[in-house]
Amino acid sequence: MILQMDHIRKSFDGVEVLKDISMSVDSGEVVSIIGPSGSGKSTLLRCATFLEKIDAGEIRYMDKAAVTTNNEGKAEYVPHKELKLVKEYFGLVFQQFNLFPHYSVLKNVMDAPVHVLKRPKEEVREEAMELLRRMDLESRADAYPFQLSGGQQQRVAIARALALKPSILFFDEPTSALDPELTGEVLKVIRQLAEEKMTMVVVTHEMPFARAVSNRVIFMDKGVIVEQGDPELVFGSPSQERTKQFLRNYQR
Amino acid sequence: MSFSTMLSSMGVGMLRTCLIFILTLLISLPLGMIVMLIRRPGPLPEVPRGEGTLKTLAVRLWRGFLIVLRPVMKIYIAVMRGTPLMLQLLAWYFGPYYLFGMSIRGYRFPAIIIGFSMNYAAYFAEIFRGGIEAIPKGQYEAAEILGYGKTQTFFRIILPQVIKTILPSVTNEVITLVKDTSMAFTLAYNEMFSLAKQIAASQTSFMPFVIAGVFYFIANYVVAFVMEFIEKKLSYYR
Repeated sequence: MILQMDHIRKSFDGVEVLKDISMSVDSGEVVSIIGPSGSGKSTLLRCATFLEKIDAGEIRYMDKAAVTTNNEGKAEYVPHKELKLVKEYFGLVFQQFNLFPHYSVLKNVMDAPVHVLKRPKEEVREEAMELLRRMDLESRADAYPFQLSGGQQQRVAIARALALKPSILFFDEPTSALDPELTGEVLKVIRQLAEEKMTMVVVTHEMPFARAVSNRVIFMDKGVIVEQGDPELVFGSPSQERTKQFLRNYQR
Repeated sequence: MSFSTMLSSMGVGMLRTCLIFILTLLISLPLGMIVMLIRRPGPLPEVPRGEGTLKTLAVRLWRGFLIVLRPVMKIYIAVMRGTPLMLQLLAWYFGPYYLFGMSIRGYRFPAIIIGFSMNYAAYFAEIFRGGIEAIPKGQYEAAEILGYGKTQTFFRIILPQVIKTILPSVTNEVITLVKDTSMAFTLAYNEMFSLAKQIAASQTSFMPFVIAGVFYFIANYVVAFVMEFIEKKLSYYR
């Protein structure tokens, strides 16, 4: 099991956004999380990546505990040094790309391996160029983010995340900030990664993509997992009324 | 008195003016950065669990320091921006005598530098804060996910972008400083403008003021040129 989240609770100013959520992700699995706005899917991702702190529950990566719940029912994070090691297991691709504007494309990809992991520059450069080749961005290595289209920027962001060799990669609505024309090139890259058996969790509004690429679909609403399972089942014959309603709204 | 004599008697004043300018910048820029780092809003640092005791102690100290100094910095900035620089210079110079009965002989020049630096640091701190707050939250989040530490994030990711955004405001402030140096006459320090006034009075000539005007103009032209050069250097990205 790469990721295991158990009984996660999270509130913002007294409003409970995640209500006792449990989920796990196996090696090589591609999981899509769908659901209406405000259903808590992005918050779930931000909790999994420690950008938000959970109130209660347990999070483990590769069977290593990152968060446990103490006797009073409150979440307790492992000490900073251990958490830092756990953080190396995952990567995250943001909706808004969040590339570093003052670094070239190549430096965006290389900087963390070189300055965080302290790996030799030459070795990292070769890997980075290989990643950019896979993202079909080899020719833009020296460009700066502002010179790229949204789709290209997002592909750089994916390369940047992959450069740290994560065991699992999260995507937070990776195509929501893109022109419809450009979503295809980003989805293609994610699909390619799925074929290479990269473990991924994708929060998305792209239903056909979720259906085609993922091994499992999770439908969330109002802070709970309403339904999950094989994409053909969830999309083809959803068992819950709420899921049917959501998917109906989507088709219009 | 001939033109060249005037110029040469004002020359030493020009050097003093430059000295005030350079020393003030050298002190107020880093000082403004420190003031900003203390005053900056945001959550207090959390004391890490299970760290080596030394680091935990350092974080604890910094935390206590912030709790005490944040309101102090706010008041400091309010006073520095809310009262005339001239008055502040007088206060820095005569303050030690009136408050503590200390001798202020030989303290004239240090008082000027302290007065200018403290005043400009307050303005710079606010400019820096504006620059820091203009950086999108996503930059911090991306850095955190990629594993950068707090210090690395600040120096590698945030600061370079801050410098670019604040450059025009800093230019403004530096140009104002060039002209504000004439304020040192309040403490009877013979920088260039004080000398110009003395010569103008004794020679009943307007020429020293013309020379002073040209000097300030040229100095600021150089400042603007340098700053524009740096802005161009940083214009490779948006």
